[in-house]
This record gives sequence, C-alpha cells and structure tokens, in this order.
Amino acid sequence: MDRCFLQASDVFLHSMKRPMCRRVTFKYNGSTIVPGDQGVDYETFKRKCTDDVRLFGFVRFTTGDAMSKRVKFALITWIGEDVSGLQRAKTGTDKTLVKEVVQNFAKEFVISDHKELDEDYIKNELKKAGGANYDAQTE
Amino acid sequence: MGNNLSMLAVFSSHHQEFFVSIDKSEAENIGRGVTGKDQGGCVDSYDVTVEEDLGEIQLIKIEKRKYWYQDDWYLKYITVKTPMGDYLEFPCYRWITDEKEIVLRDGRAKLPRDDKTQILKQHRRKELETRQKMYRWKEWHPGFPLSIDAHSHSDLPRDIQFDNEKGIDFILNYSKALPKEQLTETRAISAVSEYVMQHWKEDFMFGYQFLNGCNPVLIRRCTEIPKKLPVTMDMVECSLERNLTLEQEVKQGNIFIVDYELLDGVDANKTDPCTIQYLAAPICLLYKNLENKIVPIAIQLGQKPGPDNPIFLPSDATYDWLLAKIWVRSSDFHIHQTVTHLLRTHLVSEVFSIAMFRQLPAVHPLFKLLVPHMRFTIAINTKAREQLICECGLFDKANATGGGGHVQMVQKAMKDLTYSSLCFPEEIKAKGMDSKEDIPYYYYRDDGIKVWEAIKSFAEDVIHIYYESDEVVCEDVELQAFVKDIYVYGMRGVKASGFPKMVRTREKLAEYLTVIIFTTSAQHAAVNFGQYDWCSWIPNAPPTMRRPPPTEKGTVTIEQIVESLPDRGRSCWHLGAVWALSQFQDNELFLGMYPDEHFVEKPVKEAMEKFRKNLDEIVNAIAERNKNKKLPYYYLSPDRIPNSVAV
Repeated sequence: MDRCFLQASDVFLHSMKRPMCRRVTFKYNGSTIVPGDQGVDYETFKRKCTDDVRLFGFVRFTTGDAMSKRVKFALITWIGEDVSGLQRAKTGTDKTLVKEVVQNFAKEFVISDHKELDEDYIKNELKKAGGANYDAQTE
Repeated sequence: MGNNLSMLAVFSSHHQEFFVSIDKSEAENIGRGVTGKDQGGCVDSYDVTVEEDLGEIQLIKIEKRKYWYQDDWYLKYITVKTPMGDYLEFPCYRWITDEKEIVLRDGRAKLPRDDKTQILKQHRRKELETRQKMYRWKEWHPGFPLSIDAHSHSDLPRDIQFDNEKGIDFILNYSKALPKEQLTETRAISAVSEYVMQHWKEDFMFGYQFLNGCNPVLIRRCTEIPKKLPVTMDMVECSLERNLTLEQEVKQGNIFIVDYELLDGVDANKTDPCTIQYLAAPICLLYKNLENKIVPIAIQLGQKPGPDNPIFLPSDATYDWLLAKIWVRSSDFHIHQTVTHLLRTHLVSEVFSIAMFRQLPAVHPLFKLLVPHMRFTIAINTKAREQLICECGLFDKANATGGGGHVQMVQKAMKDLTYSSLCFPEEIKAKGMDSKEDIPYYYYRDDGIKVWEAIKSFAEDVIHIYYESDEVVCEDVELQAFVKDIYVYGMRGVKASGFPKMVRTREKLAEYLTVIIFTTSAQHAAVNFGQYDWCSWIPNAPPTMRRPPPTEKGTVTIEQIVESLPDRGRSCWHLGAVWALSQFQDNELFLGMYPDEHFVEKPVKEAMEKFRKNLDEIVNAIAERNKNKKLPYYYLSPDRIPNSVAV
C-alpha cells in the first residue's frame, strides 16, 4: 500500500463527514489496495462482497435507542470463501495497514459468510460495543 | 518528601545500562541503574526516590541503551516494593533487543472490559498492533493450514526463537545421532525397541501397534466391510474363533479396519535417479480374538480389487504374509509422519500459536494460560520448513513420500482435519473404539481420556475465575478475534472444518482451550516420543520400499523382501531422524510445569496446584498399570508429556 493511496484515502475519510455518505471501500487491484467505491447504500457494498474477492469496508451506521441516536463506524474485512490461501494470508497483514488509515471504529468484523453482513446483525453488534441500551425493556 | 520505591529486576544478561521510568499519565525518567554482573541469570535491586505520590503503578517502561556491542537482554520480571510494603509483580519473559523499549503491565490478568482508562486501553491496542505486524500469516503450500510468514528461524521475532539454534539443527543432529558404522550393531536403547526387534514378525505385535504404537489413531471398528475389499468367509475362517460367520463377527463388533486410502495416487519419491521408490495404499482387516487381542486377518495392498491385487492372509506362505504386513507398516509410517504427526500436531499447534500472538495481549488471562503451551512451536516448524521438509530437504533423503508426496498427503488430509476430530474423547467414540469393556488393551485411549479430563478441569477452573457468565465470554472481543483468526486464517475459512467462528459459552470455551492444550502437549507426545521405540527397527517401519508391492501369491522370497526394504544409507538417515525426534530437550518442561509466572494471582496458582495434583495421580495410575508389563505404555504419562511442541 503506497503513500499516495494513503493521502487519497484521507480525502475519502473527509467525505464520510458529509451526512449522506455512509461507506468507503478499499479493494485490491492486484496486490495493491486502492480506494473502491464510496456511496450511500450498504446494500451495494454487500453486493460487492462475492466469494472470489477480498474487500475492506469502513461503514457508518446510526444506532441508538429512543433516548439517543449515535453514529458508529464498523470496519469490515470481507474474505470470500474462494479466495486463495496466498491472498487470504495477505489480508491479515493488509488489515494492519488499512487500520493505519482508518483508526476510529467501534468494532471490526472479519466475515466470509454473506449472512453475517446483515445490517441488523452488524448494528446489533455495534450497539453492544459500547454504551447503555435503553430499549432493553421492549426487547 | 520523597517516596521510596524498591525495584527488583530479574534478568539474564550481563553488563548493561538501563533506564527505568515509572509511568503515570505524564511520565518522567526518574531512575537509572547499572547491572554489575558478568554472567547471565542475574538479579538486581534498585531503590528509586520520587517526589510525588505515584498512586497506583499502571505501567513500567524499560529502555536499554546499547553499549559497544550488540547484546540482547532477556528480562524475566520486575518486582516493585511500594513504600507501604506491598509487592507488585510485572512479568515480562521477553527479549529486549537493540535499543527497543518494553512497557509492562502488572501481572494481574485483565479482560478487555476490565481496562477502562485510555492509557490502559491504548497500551493493549498498541501491543496488539505491534504483534500483528510481527506475526503474520502465510501460505506455505496450497491447501495447507496457514503458517508463520518467515523465511528462516533467524527471521522470527526474537521472543519465539530457540535459545540456542545449534540445539535444533536437524542436519547436525540427525547425522551425529547414529554413526553409520554402528548400523550393524543395532544398539537398542529402550526395552520396547528391544522387544520390537525380537517380535516384529508376530501377528500379535502387528495388531498391537494399531492400539499402542506411535500411530494409534487409525484403527476403527468395522461396521461394514467395504466393497473394495471383497474378503470372503472362506478366506478368514481359520482366523475366526467364535464359530460365527464374518458378517456376524462384524455385527458383534469384533472386526476392525485400517484403510490407507489417503496414500492412493500420492507420488513416490523420484529425487534419486538410482533408486526407484514405491508407495501403496493398503486396506487391513483385523480381528479381536478370544483373548481380546487385535490381530490382522486380511491385507489387500491396493484400493482397487482385482486379480493383481490379492488379499493376503495369515494362512498364506510365510514370506507372502510377512511382506504384506511390511507394506502395511511402511504405509502406516507415511501416514504417521505426515498426517498424524506433521499436520495434526505440528501445523495445527502453529495455527493456535500464531493466532495467540496476534490477538491476545500479555495481560489477557488466556495468553497467560496458553503461552507455555506454544513454546518453540513456531520455531521448530520454521526450522523444519527450512531444513527438513523443504524441497531437497532431509526428508527427501530417506522417505518414499519425500520429493512432493508429503505435500499431496497433507492437502488430502485437510478434509479430515476437523474440530471434532481434535476433541479426543469424541474422536475415539466416532471410531467406535470407546468401550473399555470391548477393547480392554487400548492404553492410548485410557491414558488420553484421563489427561484430557485433567486439562479440561484446569481450563474450567481458570475460565471461572475470569468469566462470570457466558455473556462475558461473548463480549471478550480479543478472545473472539483469536477464535476468528484460527478459523479464517489457520483453517482457511473452511466451514466444513467445523472450527467455530465464535465461542459463546464458558462450556464451549473450556472445550476449545482443552483442544489447544491437549493437542500441543499430550497428542504430540503420544505420536512423537514413541518413534525410536517403534520405528528404529527398520523392517517394522520402513521409510521407503525399493520394489513394488507383490501382485500375486506364492512368489515372494526372502531376497525380494530384503531388496524391497530400505538400503543402508537411507536406513542411517531414518535412524538418525527417529532417534533425534524422540529426545526430550535439556530442561524440558512437562505438563503442568509453569516456572514462568505469567499469572500472579492466588486463585490461578491454586488451580495450577490442583492440576498438578491430578496429573500426579494419573502418573501413579499409569505406573501401576504398567507394572510387570513386557510392553509398558508410557507416552501419555504426564511426567513425559512436554508442555508444547518443541521437537
């Protein structure tokens, strides 16, 4: 991962502050990690997670209960089931580099099963990652 | 008014200058001391005076300055005596190299949720970030469990290297193990190897090894004779003793089977143009006779039945039957070396070890619990990849599966590397071998289950100290990342492996930790240290065969057998190898010996005492069982089980 990319991704992180932008992805171009899409839709991100790719996603969710709404970030590492051993191994190392750029997240996820990308599941995990849950009585 | 602190630092190195700062929010360098000892293993104490009240000591930073030469420093621990007279322990057990600094927490184990201040959370996070940079996953061969990213032993982080690299130099050790001239004398240095030499041709001895040899993991109760082994009642009638038909014996559970199908299609060693080497994929049927002894009753040397793949029987000509048994023994040796030993203990243990270094900080109770069981594992495997099982490595010299066959074997064996197969009692049951009443002489099972239960009980005790509920287990993000790393990287994210992606209960966590500790200690001991006993007599475990398996009966001669067995040169390498592998290290640490005090708290130390007491009882029970036995089984006696895979 080279320095130019790191600067470009700072720009992406800035754009996360705009209310409508919910996610940034990093994808592999050969053995280099480059910015992927950024956009609104979590569903679009999920669609990009196919069995043959590796992706890093930095996604903003709004969690919260009746008392307060909170913005939380998730760092998602997607490793498709068909990804080769060589490439799989590299994601471990590359995640360390991605985390040098993306430093603030409530929770990170390593996912290979599409079911685990379910938005409600991720949001629930983020909720557990910190803060009181005032809706407890209604659950 | 100043506050006086005494610091006791335990090192193993000599003259160094070092600086100690005691961190509390805004830190200052406040002390300096110089060790005066010239030899290793020195203990020094320092008095440090501070103006302010330091409050609770959260962190201690150790910095080392280089003198004129490179000198690495091993710091065991620091004990701090406070002005109030309390003692605080700061375990370290790490090397301080170059001018690096180390920041230590006190020895009390803490889960992530226990660290609430920024300074402690950051220390934890920083430590894991550093570790994840130092310990990286890499694929050595396609399909293999992932292993450490390092080209050689010297490439590894200093903390996990061997203390003395010469000690584990394979080339040095294998060649000095047994001088070539001594081959004709065949020096037997154990009672078992002596017994093997005298009785190796006997059917009882052949059957016995499937239960209590160095590869006691393949035999299973036969529930249905496979179609690829068209054995008839006529063939085996004279072996059966109960006046039952073969089908009836099968139904009663008296028939056992070992199928070497994994070897089918594996390429034999072609690295020596002067010696063609051969492999087979036999199927062996065994019978539990009226004395409850397991004996072979039929051997087919290939997987596909046919006229050139006869079923050899005990009633055949002496040399026919003997050669058939030798072929089975040779096949067993290959599965043992590459699957039972290399894959299912060494490589699996390395997976656990890498994940532990990557995801559990030193302050985590599970790091403290597991680290003694990972000692030198990554190092020995890296050395093995460097010298032994690499292309043109030592393994190629004497093994029919050298030159690439062993790689194919591991790849094929991965589908059977499941989580439940590493749960010892479950695996025994799955093979139909669990009944002590039906199968009384399966000491590997009996001793293994005792040791498994003792380890599980210890794991449960430690878990109950730190996890008061299942919820605490679920919320331990570091534990879950550890489990995830093992699944996603070590086991390659293969769902069929049955490895959990998450551990949600204390019960499951106890099982998980037991799998890890049992595999790295007992399982490895059971399959490694018997190698000299059972494999030093070459005809009992030929590492290669120089003639193809016989395809018809009535033609085998003694010359054919001698020409099939390994030549003198290969026999020497093989002997050197099995001797070296069966040695305990100098200062070996056996199961339950925890001289490094990563844990400082009383409840855990009590749990350790209880564990050691349990293990002692098992040692005594095994010694009692072995009394007056011509063939004692001692590989799973806890006083012979090293804590970790280090050889």
